[in-house]
Amino acid sequence: MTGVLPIALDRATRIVQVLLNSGKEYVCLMHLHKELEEEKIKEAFQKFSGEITQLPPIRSAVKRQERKRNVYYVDILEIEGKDILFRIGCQAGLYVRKYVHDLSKFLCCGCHMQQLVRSKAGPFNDKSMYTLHDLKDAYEFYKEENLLEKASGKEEEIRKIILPFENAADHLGKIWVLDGAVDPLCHGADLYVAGVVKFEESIKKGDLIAIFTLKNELICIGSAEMDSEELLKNEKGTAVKTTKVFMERGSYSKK
Amino acid sequence: MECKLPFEKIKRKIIVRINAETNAEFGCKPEDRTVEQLIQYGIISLNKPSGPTQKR
Repeated sequence: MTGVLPIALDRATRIVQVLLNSGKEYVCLMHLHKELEEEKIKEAFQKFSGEITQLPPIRSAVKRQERKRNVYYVDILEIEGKDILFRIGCQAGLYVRKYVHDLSKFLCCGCHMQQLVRSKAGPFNDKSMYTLHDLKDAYEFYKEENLLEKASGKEEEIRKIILPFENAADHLGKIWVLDGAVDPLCHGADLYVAGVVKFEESIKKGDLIAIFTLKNELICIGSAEMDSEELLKNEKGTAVKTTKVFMERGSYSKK
Repeated sequence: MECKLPFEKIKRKIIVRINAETNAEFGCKPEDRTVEQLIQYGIISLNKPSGPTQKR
């Protein structure tokens, strides 16, 4: 598989955890062993959308037990002879190779997955991704001593490639807090509703939440104990149970 | 066909609970970080190349 692979650096390393369960999208080229009618192919894809059941393949990191996974959408991009190019948006943990295998069993026709490219991983997608070569070039350019351009020119390329780690939380529910609430959160304390300044209307109890300062810096991740209605109404209580802290302690305390 | 993942369909309207400001003395907006700081708290959307076992 090639395509989008989010990589977190240094103190942001643990943010990848919030991407593990996020939705994914792949573009897949599958090759049939004999030509089939377009109608029959479309019928098969229609059957394999929505909630499906999969038994993970022999070579897999997870327990070999049938499990339900959601196919949010599947779109046939092109059918040319025995080749089918399709795009699939799915829940994390769906094996596309197995999906193709199960499709072929339904079609009573041998087939295999020829190529797989990941086009979305949570908020990251193939409209904005860079190779290791791009990164190396941008870093070398940034480190160059003898450029005539002003300092900001040197940074342009690398700033396109290395993004603030807050971007990795773009798909989560968001809550912004008072400056005074920041340091306790950095020490692992839960977020009390009194510290909440603003929040997204779609928040439900149990949702994975990203907590930000009013400067939009990511402080920590947690689990919502209140939904958006309660966040607005309540004057006290625990709003979010903190599970993962990123901001350095002391960032928001008087020196 | 609408090709959106569940989180892409969520309405992101922001509800304000209290009016507050932030002190410029603490912290730093992500877009104002130096490159060094960016690397310390950074994420890259990498275009992963083919692995060693993949056919070319």
